[in-house]
Amino acid sequence: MSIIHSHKSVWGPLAELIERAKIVSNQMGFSSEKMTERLVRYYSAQGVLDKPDRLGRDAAYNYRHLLQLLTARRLSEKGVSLEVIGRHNLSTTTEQLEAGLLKPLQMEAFNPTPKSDGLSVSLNKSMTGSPVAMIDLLAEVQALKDQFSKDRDELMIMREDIGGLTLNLKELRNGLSEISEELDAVSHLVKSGLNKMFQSEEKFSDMFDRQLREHGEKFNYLSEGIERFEKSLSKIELAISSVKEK
Amino acid sequence: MEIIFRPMFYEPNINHVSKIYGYVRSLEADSVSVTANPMPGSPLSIVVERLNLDRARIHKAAVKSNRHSKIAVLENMNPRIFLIPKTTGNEDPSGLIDDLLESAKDCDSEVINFTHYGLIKGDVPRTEVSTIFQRFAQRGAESGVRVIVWDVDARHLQTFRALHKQHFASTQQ
Repeated sequence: MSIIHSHKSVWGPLAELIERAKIVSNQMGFSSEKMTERLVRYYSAQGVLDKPDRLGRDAAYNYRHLLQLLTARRLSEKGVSLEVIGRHNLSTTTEQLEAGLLKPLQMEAFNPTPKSDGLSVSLNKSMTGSPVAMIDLLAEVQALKDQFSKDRDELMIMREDIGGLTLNLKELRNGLSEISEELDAVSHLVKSGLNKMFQSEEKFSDMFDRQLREHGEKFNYLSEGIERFEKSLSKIELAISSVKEK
Repeated sequence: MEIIFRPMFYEPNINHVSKIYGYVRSLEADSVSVTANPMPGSPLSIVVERLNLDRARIHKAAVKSNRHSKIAVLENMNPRIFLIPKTTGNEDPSGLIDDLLESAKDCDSEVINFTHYGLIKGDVPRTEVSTIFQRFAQRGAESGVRVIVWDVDARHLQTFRALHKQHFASTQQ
């Protein structure tokens, strides 16, 4: 776990943020002298930090604020303007801010060198003809050459990345077609299973109806028998009572 | 202020606790008001999971919100989160609702997804809910909040509708 990462759960008042910022600064070798509440309030007002959270009426600062503060101090010491720092801090994700603090500062990102637009600029200078001017020209040509090789290297890396991406896409496409085949097979299985289920359901419902009907008939037959039996019983009782009376 | 009820349904046979609270994001809402209960399976943890929010930050804020009994407002989240300290169901929530509306006003929040009472164990705490309706009816207009999307337990939807009618009868006419 990195030095900064251990402060991930920070969420509290300004004093806590300052304290943690000082600790991290000292651990990472940044200057922590100017980390004051006043500075943080100034940064907030200038839009260098996100709007703070709140707990009731009090401001509360979180991990992202800590990262923004550390980044701001680091860049500010290198002379980057607060406007540029603010734009950077607000548009960068928390993960990127974290990663940025863990690696050496790349000032090119904040002071971009103007891109060379070819030899025309330097060739005009060379027309003065003096040997000193020639040295200057050679130095400029050398710089252009360096820039060109740097650009070429970057392009090569990009080309390789694109190649890798193409391969990944191909693999992904293959994987997707396999998944689609499997899905087809599964849907076929589900359909046939459902058909079988419906068929057996119909079969069972027919059987059930038939049996119900049979049971109904039996029940009717039995109830008629019982009725008949009851009638004969009452007749017998009447006969017995008449005999007794006689 | 308009109040729209979103009934929350449950699958009582599913054991996995996070499936119980069928929360989906309210796309219209710019803020979500949730009870500051950081326990696993609580509505807060489900909202955090569904909205893919910063768990560590919310957990810490929820703990502090409960400890200080104050509403925590988490800015720079999409949507913005209002953490409301836990209540027992027998307390007067007027103060908290006033604070919520005040916080909403400070943030220019117009539509709040109110997730409280989305999962009720036992009966509806009528007095508490009634007070909330009362505060919304009284303070809603001045807060700038136009709509409350209220996630209520589907089993008690009718109770909520009846209480709403009591307090908002005049505005419905």
